[in-house]
Amino acid sequence: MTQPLKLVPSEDQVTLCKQAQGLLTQQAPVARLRHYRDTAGHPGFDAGLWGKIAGLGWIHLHLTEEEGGAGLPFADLCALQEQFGKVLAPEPWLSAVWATELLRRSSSHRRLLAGISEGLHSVAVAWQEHRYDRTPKTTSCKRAGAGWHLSGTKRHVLDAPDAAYTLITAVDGDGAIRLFCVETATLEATREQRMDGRPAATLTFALELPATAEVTFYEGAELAWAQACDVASIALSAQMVGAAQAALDMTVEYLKIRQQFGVAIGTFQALQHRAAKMFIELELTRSAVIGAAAAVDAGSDELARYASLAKARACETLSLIAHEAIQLHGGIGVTDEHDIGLYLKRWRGDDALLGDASWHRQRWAELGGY
Amino acid sequence: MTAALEAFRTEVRGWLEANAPQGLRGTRMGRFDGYWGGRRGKPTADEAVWLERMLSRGFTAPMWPKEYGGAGLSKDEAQVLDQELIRLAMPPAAVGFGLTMLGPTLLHFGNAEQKAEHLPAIVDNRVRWSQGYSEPGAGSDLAALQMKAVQEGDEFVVTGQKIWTSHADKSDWIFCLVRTDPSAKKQQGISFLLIDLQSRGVSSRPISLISGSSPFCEVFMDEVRVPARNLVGKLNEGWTIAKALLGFERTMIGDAIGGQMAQAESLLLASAREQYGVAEGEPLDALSRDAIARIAMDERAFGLVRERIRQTTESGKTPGPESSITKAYGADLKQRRYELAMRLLGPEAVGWEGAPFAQTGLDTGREWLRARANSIEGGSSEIQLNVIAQHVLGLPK
Repeated sequence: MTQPLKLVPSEDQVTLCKQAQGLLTQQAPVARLRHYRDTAGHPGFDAGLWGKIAGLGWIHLHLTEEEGGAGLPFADLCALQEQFGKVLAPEPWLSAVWATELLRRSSSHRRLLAGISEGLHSVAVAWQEHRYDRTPKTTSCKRAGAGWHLSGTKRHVLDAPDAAYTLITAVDGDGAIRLFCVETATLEATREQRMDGRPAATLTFALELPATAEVTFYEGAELAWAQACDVASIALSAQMVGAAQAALDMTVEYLKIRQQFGVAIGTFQALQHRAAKMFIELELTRSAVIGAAAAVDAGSDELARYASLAKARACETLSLIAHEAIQLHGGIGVTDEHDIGLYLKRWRGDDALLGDASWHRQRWAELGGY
Repeated sequence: MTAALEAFRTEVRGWLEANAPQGLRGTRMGRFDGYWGGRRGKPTADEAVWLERMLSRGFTAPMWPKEYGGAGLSKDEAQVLDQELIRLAMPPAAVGFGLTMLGPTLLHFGNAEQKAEHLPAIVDNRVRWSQGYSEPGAGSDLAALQMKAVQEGDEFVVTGQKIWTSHADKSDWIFCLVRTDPSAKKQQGISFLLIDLQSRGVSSRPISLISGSSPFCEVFMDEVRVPARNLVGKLNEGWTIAKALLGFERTMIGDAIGGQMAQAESLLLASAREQYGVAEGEPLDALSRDAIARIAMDERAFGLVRERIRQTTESGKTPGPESSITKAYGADLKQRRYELAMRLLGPEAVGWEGAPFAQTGLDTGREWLRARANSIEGGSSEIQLNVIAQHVLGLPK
């Protein structure tokens, strides 16, 4: 019998979340997304805030002390992700967690890891080619002298426009996955205008690289890549739980204050039941995400299944709540002036990152042998 | 996991290895498939031995105080015991509404005499309890109940009807909500009364369900005389006790469904492979696999939410409105699971009884029909949503 995963927050975690809430309430209102979007040339996130986050030691808080971190549980990082998700923070959290998870498994690029943690470098992860397939097919690497020739196109690379470095997945002549670290400035980047406003680009490249550009791993690239994707998916799912919580809170608040027919519309049972159903789904999803984070901390051999559970449920729950939130806000909900629409757009973007719900259900089934 | 807890696990594992009857190992079905006890209960020889041995450790009510026959375990120790029982697939040695509903309620609200009288008889399964809550005119609107209890000296005289009383025909005692002040506002005139079903004037009649089973009864009381000492809590203040017990009931139903759901993925998968002729190791069609994965993933999340509530709730505390989450979601999940099971069976799902239908298909059909009651019994899903909306989200009445 396996031990039950620890699903309750520690006191440290509660304190950390309060600290994050304080910072975000002051410096990261959701409304800033409209400002970034409408300001030509704006980087898409707040570099000052990101520096502050790094200064607080949050980016690498779950790394071991040997890796330069604070040795806190990954569950604490996920709790932080939730706080940032509430305000739809566009800071490059996902890329940072993803790259960190890759580089902590790397035998070649450990110094870059420190750079990310300290907020000196931002690193994007370029992987996507066709839909959600994580195995590179068209981006190839061939040995060229002592180094490599790397060519291909990667789509929807989150945070690439502002990243100093980009980690690129490629397939070699034997069909094995390899990872390369290149300066983003050497890539041809087409910035995407996304619905969710987050900075991203399509990258095209044909590069001659030194052998040192390859990121090598203690236990092989395939395992490192799979694990890093799963851990990143769980962090993203935690952000989505935060977004869903905030959208539900705003909606419940609106049901309490909006008056029609002489009463608060929140007295209507049809609407109460819709709110209650959202709450139930959110509690199930929150539990799945907390469970997945605990599975990371426990070194569970079911990491992949937990990650798919978390992301599938996060996609469906944020979808449900973001859609219902707009309907229950009525007319004001479909105006650009109101924040709630930003949550629906964010869901659209998050849903398309690292696999949507049906992709993860299929993966769950494959992992279960059916 | 502390060292003390690990030591407890080792000790319990060794004890179970030595004491769990061989004939019962591997027979566990669910949390409520076990010996229900009562004055008319007839345990098998193995069940009798199993009950006696578990009683010697206080393990039929592991978290209850030792003075009433429990083991006084912490919730984490009790979970370890549960895990070790599941490891050997042992059925519970004693099951019943005394253990899951009335006992925890008496521990909070009963007086010393009531605890001493009733708890030991629940622990050793001598007395089987049923629940007298709903009435023909008081379903979702439970506080509209009309069963009348008039105090005459040191007795109450009880007259009225209860319905949906689980296993009343097999039970010995019933805990009832009765109206003791007809002039007060609905919730204020209700009392919580313990009644011996062998009392003169009590009769019951089973109700046949669409599934063909009869777990529920109607219970009629005609001037039944009940000693006044069987009043739990104060006169006319039974509603608080009633609500606390409902919390225990919802938790019980959520746990029961959770236990039944643990096998859902493998059973659905086996059925799909058989119906569609897909060999082990071969992928299923996309629709079946998506549908099965959805149920399996929701089942895992359901297990996690219940575990999270267990870890957050202090030992012995009465469950709060969060028990409505597991009640409502559990009922929905179980219904979806059986809808899918029936869809996978396709034309084989129409059987009611006997050959040429396979028994597993017949059982699935009965469970599918039975599951329709899951969103009605123990407080309808609509009531659970009301509770969440008003008591968790704070929406106005």
